[in-house]
Amino acid sequence: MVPFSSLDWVWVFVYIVWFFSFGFLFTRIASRSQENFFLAGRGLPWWMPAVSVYGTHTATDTPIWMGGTLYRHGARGIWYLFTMGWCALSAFFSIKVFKRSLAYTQAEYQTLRFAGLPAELLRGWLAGWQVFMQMFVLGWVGIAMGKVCNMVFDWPLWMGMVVFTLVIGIYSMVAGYWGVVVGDLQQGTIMFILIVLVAAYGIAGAGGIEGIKASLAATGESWRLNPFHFDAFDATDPNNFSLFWLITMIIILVFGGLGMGTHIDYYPDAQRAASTKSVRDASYSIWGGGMLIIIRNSIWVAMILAFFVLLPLLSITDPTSGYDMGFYWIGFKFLPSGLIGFFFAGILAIHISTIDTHINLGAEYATRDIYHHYINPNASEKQLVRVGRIATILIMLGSFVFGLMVGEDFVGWLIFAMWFLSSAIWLPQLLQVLWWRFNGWGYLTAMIVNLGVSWLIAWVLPALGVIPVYNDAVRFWLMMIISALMYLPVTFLTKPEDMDHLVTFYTMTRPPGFWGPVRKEAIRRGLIKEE
Amino acid sequence: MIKREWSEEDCDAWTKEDYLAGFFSAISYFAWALGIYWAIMLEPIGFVLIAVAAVSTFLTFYIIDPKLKVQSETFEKRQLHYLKLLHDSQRWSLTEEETKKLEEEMKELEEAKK
Repeated sequence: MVPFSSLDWVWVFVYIVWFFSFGFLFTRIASRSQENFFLAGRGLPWWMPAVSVYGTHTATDTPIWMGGTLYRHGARGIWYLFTMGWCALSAFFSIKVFKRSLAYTQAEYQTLRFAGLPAELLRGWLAGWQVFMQMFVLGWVGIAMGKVCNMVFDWPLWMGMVVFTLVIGIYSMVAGYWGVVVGDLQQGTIMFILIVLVAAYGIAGAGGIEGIKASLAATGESWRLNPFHFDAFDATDPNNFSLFWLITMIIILVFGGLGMGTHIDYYPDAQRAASTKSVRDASYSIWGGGMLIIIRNSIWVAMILAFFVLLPLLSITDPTSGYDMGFYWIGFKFLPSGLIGFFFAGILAIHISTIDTHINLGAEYATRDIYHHYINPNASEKQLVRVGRIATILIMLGSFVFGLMVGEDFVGWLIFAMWFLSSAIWLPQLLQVLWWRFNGWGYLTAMIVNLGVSWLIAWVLPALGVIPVYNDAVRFWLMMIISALMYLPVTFLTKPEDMDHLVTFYTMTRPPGFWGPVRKEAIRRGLIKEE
Repeated sequence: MIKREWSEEDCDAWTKEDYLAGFFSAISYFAWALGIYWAIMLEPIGFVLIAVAAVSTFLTFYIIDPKLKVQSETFEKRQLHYLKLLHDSQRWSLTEEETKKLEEEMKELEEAKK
């Protein structure tokens, strides 16, 4: 347990009151329409969603999974954290296409890019998948809060998850996306200050930079300082960090930047891009949000190196050893009394900024793509906002089930979800942007194959002893190849999309890549001019 | 060499400016990531990389911003029409073009039957 002084409790109390006041401030504006409840009326300047991107991807689980990865790998773990690198390209390529489509969600985008039955099947599939994924994400972020509360107050794991998610759920239900994005602005700022502060205290506590270097050298662990320290390639070592892995990761980022929806973080970020007031603002919001995360990560690397110097013998195979709790451990151990409360308020801030985002995002898919499109197409704006609020509560309740499933083993789950759960659809996600001939049937095949094959290769076949446990890079290529063998023939054996539909899509979004026949047709119809 | 004046007619084409912005953007991400880490660790290379990152960031926006501004303004003029399409698609309503096409297909079917 961590002792709290009166001043610490004041920080926590002030923060909670401050945070709730935002919710009530935005109740009326959020209730106006579906567009306000989920996209803040599409009128935000770039810097607001940018900070929201950063706030959303800095959650209570982030220090745990990042801390765990860096404790295992040292500075080379920075590349595992480089997942947001896709924003560098996406900001100027795929996010522009998405913004111009004016779709609320990636599921809705499917019916604009593809036509007919496969498009509707894709939309329904993706909407259902995203509702499930948001509950899953909320579950692991919630249980991370459970871990923190267990460390601070000695509460059982479920209690921290349920108490705080419930409070934030009510806030999201009232304030909608307006509350999310404005709240993220202050939460993101508080957290950035805290990360710098905790890193400074941690580094000082470990003897300063020179002290860290000397300690690592004395214990033969200097390799941890080198971000390019590669292992010899070993396909069956799950922790193998080879040059092959780094090259694979760079390819993944390029795919992510040119494609859409490759990474689970894409979906909340697409909502942020859709909520901006212009294409330019959409681009800069994604670029800026990604950049803030990249900067945060670099500070984190130094912080966890300090943690390793302070506690070098923690077991990385035992999730209860606390090897992944470096950030929290440093904060509670080194920050002076009075600042501990500020630190906990900051933890609440990052928790809120992520939970409210995913609750609102899940509700958006449930309302816009499932209820509005398939159940009640003529629903009034009032009805849609009401359904959005009900969906918010249901998604929150669902997340408790997933949270209890995830339990203590965080890092394994997160690496699986972030890097691997969508490996088979990385290339199709790219093709749907770049290639006119890729059709809805092909994409649908890839989605189905992905769901089946990812579980088979990650868990089922290794558990049965059919294949060894491959590392992430090998599994990525395996899944890419297996799925391509299925969706490419399906694409060529089925008809291209209807030309009218493609011309409308092309004229509206102007995607990059191989769109020759569609462009020609659009020019022939006088919809665009010859370049 | 870098085009800074764009019009409604040419702003939507994919040109070297887009690819250059993408290239410098990627460089800046890598350089900021490594530069800040190494600078915190007091390695001289870290400060060099931060300088590289700052220049790359500047170039990214210097190259792409004029184009993005015109693109945004041009798109906003057409946005209302596109929102109408989205509204129709969301509620399963047919657009005028789709209605016409469907009627033509029905006619063809009837003629084929005869």
